[in-house]
Amino acid sequence: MRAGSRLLLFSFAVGVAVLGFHCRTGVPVATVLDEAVPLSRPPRIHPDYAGIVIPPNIAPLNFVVKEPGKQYVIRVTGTGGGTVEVVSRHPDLRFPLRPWRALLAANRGKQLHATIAVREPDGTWRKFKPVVNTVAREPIDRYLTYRFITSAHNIWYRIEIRQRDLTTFTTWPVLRNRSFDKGCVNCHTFLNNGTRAMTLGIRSRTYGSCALLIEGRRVTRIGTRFGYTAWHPSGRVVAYSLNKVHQYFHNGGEEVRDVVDLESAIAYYDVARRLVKTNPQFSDHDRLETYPTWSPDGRYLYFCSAPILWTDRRTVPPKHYEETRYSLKRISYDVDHDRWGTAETVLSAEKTGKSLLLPRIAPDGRFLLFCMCDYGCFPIYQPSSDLYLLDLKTNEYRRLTRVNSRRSESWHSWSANSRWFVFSSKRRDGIYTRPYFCHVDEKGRVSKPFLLPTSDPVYFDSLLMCLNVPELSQERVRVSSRALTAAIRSPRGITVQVPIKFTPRRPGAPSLTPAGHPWRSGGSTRK
Amino acid sequence: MNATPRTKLLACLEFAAFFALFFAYVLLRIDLPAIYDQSPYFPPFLTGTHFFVRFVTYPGGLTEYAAAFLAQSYFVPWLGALVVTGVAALLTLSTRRLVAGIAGVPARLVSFVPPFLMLLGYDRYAQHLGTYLAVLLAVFCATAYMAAGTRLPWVRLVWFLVLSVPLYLAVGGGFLLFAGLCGLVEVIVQGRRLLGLFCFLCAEIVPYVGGRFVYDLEPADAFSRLLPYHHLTDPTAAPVLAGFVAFFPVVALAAGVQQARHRRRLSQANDSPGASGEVGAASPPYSARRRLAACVRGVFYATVGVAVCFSYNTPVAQVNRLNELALRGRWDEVLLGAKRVPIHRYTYALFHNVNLALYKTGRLAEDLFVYPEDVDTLLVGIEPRRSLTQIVRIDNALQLAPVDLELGLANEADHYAYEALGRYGERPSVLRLLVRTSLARGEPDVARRFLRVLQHDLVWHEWAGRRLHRLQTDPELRGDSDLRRLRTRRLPRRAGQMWRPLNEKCRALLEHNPRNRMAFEYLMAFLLLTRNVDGVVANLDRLDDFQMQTLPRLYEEAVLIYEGAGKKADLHGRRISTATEKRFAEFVQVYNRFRTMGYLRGAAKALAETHSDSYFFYYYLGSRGEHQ
Repeated sequence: MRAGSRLLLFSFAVGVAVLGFHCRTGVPVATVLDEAVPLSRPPRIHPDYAGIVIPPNIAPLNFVVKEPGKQYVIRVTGTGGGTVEVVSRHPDLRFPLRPWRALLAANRGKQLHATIAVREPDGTWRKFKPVVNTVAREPIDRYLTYRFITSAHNIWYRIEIRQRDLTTFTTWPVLRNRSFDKGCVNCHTFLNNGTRAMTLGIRSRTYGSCALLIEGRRVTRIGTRFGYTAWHPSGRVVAYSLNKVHQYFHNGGEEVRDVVDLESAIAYYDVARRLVKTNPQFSDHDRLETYPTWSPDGRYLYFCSAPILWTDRRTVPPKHYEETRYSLKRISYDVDHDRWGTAETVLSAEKTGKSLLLPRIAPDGRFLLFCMCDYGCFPIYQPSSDLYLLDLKTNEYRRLTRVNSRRSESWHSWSANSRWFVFSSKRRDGIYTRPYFCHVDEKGRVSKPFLLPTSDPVYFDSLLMCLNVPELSQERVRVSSRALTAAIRSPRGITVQVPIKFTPRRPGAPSLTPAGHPWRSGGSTRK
Repeated sequence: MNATPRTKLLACLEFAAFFALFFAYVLLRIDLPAIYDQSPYFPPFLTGTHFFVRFVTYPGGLTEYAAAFLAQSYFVPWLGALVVTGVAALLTLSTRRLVAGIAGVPARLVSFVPPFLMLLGYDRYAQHLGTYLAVLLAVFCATAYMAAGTRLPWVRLVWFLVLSVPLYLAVGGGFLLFAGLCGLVEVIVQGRRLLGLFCFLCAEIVPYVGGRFVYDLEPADAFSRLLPYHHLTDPTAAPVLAGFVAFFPVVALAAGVQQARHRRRLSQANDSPGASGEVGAASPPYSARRRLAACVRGVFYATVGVAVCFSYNTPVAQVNRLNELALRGRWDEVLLGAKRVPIHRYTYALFHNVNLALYKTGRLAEDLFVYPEDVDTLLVGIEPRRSLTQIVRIDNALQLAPVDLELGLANEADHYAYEALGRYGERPSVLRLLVRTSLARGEPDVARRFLRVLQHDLVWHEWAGRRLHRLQTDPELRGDSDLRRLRTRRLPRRAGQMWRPLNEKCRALLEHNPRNRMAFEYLMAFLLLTRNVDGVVANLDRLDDFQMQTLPRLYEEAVLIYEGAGKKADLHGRRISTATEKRFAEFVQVYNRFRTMGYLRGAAKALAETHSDSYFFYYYLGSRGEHQ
C-alpha cells in the first residue's frame, strides 16, 4: 500500500513536471518583440487571415505560421485597446476565447495589429511586419448551417446538416442521413435569417421524398419535393423550384461532374391553405425557371430563367446544353390577394454573356448577390462560377474581384443586418467547398474573404468532406433531430397536388440515375 | 475437481500448441495482405482525433475503431497473424471462463471452437475482425457479470445495468449477446427467472432506447451493428459468422444443462439411503475416462484440421493472389496464374487484370484469346449499361481507375476513384489512386489534400510525407516521366461526356494523341471482341504510328476472315505470315466439314485443342468461355 502510494505520488509529480514543461513559456513577449530583428515582409500564415475585415463576434482566428522556427510569439493589439498574446513551440497559434472576445469587443470599427516573431534555430528572434485586420462594427449572424457531405459523384454514405456557432467552435448535427436509411437531405431554408420557420428537402428510397416544414418545434411532412426554396418574408408562402435534374460526367476538362436541368419550373406553397400553386410566367413549358428568391419587402419574386434549347427532353446531356444561359427575372406579387403581376427581365443573359444563377437579395434590399458562370444551372460544378453584386438602386452590376478565385464560387447567404455574406468556394483545391465570409459596407465595398475559423487551424487541410449550402441564421435550430427523423419516417403528412408535370421518362429507357435522383446513397448500392 | 500441476501443464501445452498451429496456419495459408488490399469491407484507419470522433457517434463505433486499428496489421503478414491469433486466444480464454462460470468445470476442448470458426471465416477471406472483437467484449463482460460473486439479485441487477450502458456503446449489436448470456446465467445458474427475463428484455430495451432516443438510428443499426447479416458486416461467410455468434449462447445453455444434471445427480446421491455421497461411484474407472477424453480430443482436432483445410477457398485465394500480383505490376505471373483458374471462377477483376497484363506484356494482339474473353470484361465499369463494356460493378472501381488513367481517360479515372472513396472510405489504396489521378489531371492541390490524409495512415504515412516533400520542390511533378506521359494522353474539355462505348473513347483518345498505343490496342481488342473485322482492317493504318512493321497474329487472322468474304484489305505494305495462312486453312477445312453436317458443336470440340486461342475460333465458334 505504501509502495502504491509512493508510485502514485511519483506519477503525479512526473505528470506535473511534464505539464509544467509544456506550459512553460519562459518568454517575455514584450522583450522578445522589442528586441527581435525586424523583417520587411509580413509572415506567411495559413489560412490567409491577413488584410481582412472580421465580425466583432467571430470565434478566434487560429492560424499556422508558415515560417520555420523553434518558437513562435504573437501579440495582437487593437487600436482601441487590449492585447492578446500567444507563445507556442508549434507554428499553429490558437487564441484563448475570452481574451479574444474582449479584444474584439474593445475594437469594434478599429484595427487589430498582429505582430509575429519566430525564434530561429540559432536562437535569434525575427519579427515580421504586422498583419493588420479590421474589426467591423456590425456583428455577423451567430449561426451557420451547412451541409456536410463527401465530394460525391454517385456513391456516398454520410450526409449531415450541421449548425455551427460562429462565436465559438461548437458544431452540432441538425439531421444525419443515417437516421433515415442514408437518404439525402438538402436545401435548408430559413425564414428571414431565423429558425422560427424553415424547410428541409428530403429524398429517401425507404421513406419517400418530401419536404419538411418546421415551424418552431413543430415539424410537418409535405408529400412533395422542394428544390431550391425561398420563404416569402411574411412567412405565408414558400416559393420553390421543381427540377428534372440529371448529373453527367465530362471526359475532359477541369471539372468532371456536371448537372443539367432537363426541365424546371417554379411553384409556391401556401402555408396556411396547404396548397401548391404556380403561375404560367414561371412555369413555362418552353423555359427553365429556377432559383426563386424574394425581395425583402415581399413584393417581388426574383428567379432565373433560360429558354430550353433542346427538343428531346430525355437525353442527357441534351444538345446545345452548353449554350444554356440564364437571365435574371422578377415578377411582382401581392401576398394578401395572392396576385401576380407581369414578369420582367432584370438582367439578361444576352447582356452578361453568362449564365446568371442563385440570386440572393440583402435583407436591406440594396444589393443582389448572384453567381455567373459560362453556362448551365449548377455553379458549384463550374470553375468559371464567380460572385457578382447588383446594385438594385442603380441596376448596375460588377464582378467581385477581391472575392473570386479561379475556381468555383457559389452558394451564398446574407446576414440579417446585410453587412455580411457567406459563400461556398472551392478555391483551395477545386474539389472541396469551404465557407468564406465577406463584409459589405453601405456602399457595396466588399472585403477580402476569410475562411470559417476552426479550433484546429489545419482542420480543413485534410478534411475529405464538403461544407456546402452555407446559410446564416440568428437563431439555433430549435427542433431536435429526433423530431425531424420521426416526421421523415411518418406515413402521415400533408398531401399536395403539384400543378406542374414534366415529360415522363421514355418507357423502358435505361435510368441514367437510380430512381430519377441525381445522386444516390451508397447505402443502397452496396453489393 | 482441482487440476493437478501435471494437468495444468498439459492444458498449457495444449493451448500453446493449438495457437502455435493457428498462428502458423494464418501466416502461411491466409493471404492477409490480400484482405488488406482487396476486401471491400476492410476498414480504413487514420490517426488523430478527427477520425476517432466519428466512431463515438454511434453504438459499436469504439469496437469498429479498435478493429480498424488492429486490421491495419494485415499489411505485415506476421503481425496480422499475431493479432488474429491474439484475438482467437482471448476468445478461447473467455469461453473457458464462461463455461467454467456456468458449469463449474473447465471446458478446454469446447473453448477451441471459436478460433476454429474464426479460421473458417478467414479461409473465405472474410473481414470480420469487428464482430470477433465485439463478441470477445460481450463474452468477457458476461464473465465479469458472473464474477460479481454475490447471490443478491438487486446487486446483480445493478451490476448488469452498470455493464450494459458502456458495453452497448462499445459493441453495438454485440450487446444482445451479452444480455442473452446474462439472462441464461440468471435462469440456469442462479435460478432467478425474473431477473433472467429482465436481462432478455434489456437486449431489446437498451438498443431501442439508445438507437431511438440517444443516437437517432435506424432499427437495424441500433440492434444489429457488428452482427452477421447487418448491411455493413462482410457477407462473405455470413453463416459461419452467425454460427460463431450463436455458439456462445448454445454453449452456455449446454453448460447450464450439464450443471443442472450434475446437481440433480448430487441431490439424488445424497437422498438415496446407504449412499455415501460418492457421485462417481457408478462412473467408469479413471483410466478409461482418460482414454475416452483422449479419443474425443483426437477426433476433435482431426475434425478441426480436416474442416479448416477443406473449407479453404482455393479459387478465391487464387483470384485474390492474381489481383494482388496485378496491383504490384507482376504481369507475367498474373498471366501464368490465370491459366490455372477455371473459367467459371473468373471474376470481373480478374478478367480485367488479365487483359491489362496482356497489354503490359505486349501480348494483347497475340494472346487475347488464350484466356477466357468476353467483350464486357475488356473494361469493367460501374455505370449504367449504356455501352457494351460497362457493367454495374462498384467493387471494380479500384481496378478500373488505373486502367482508365493509363488509357488517358483521366476524368473517368478520377470519377471511379471518387466512387471508390465513397464506397470504401479513406483506404490507402483509394487515397493513393486519388493522388495519382489528381496529379495526372494537373491538380497538385487536390493531391496534397489526399497526401495529408495519408500522412495519418499507419502504413503509408512515410510514403505520403516523401511525396509531399517532392511536391514542395516540384509543385506539379514535372520531372516525373510517368505523369508527363499520362498528361499528354489526357483528353481535352471538348471530348464530350463520359458514358460512351469503349471504341468511341479510344478513337477520341487516338484523335487527341495518335501515339497512344494502349488506346489503339484496346480499340482493336474491342473490335475483335465485337467481331467487327471491317473495323479492324480499317484501323490497320494506325500501325504506322507505332512503327510496327509486321501484323500481330490476331490482326492477321481478322484480315483473313475479312478477305474470306471476298474483300481486299490494305495492309500498308505488310504481309500475312504463312503460318497464319496455314492455320486458317486447317481451321476452315475442319470447320467446313462439320458445318456441312450441321454440327458446329463438333467443330468446336475438334478445334478446341489446336485453334481455341485463334480469332477464327472466337469469330466462328464463340469464345472459350462461351464454348464451355
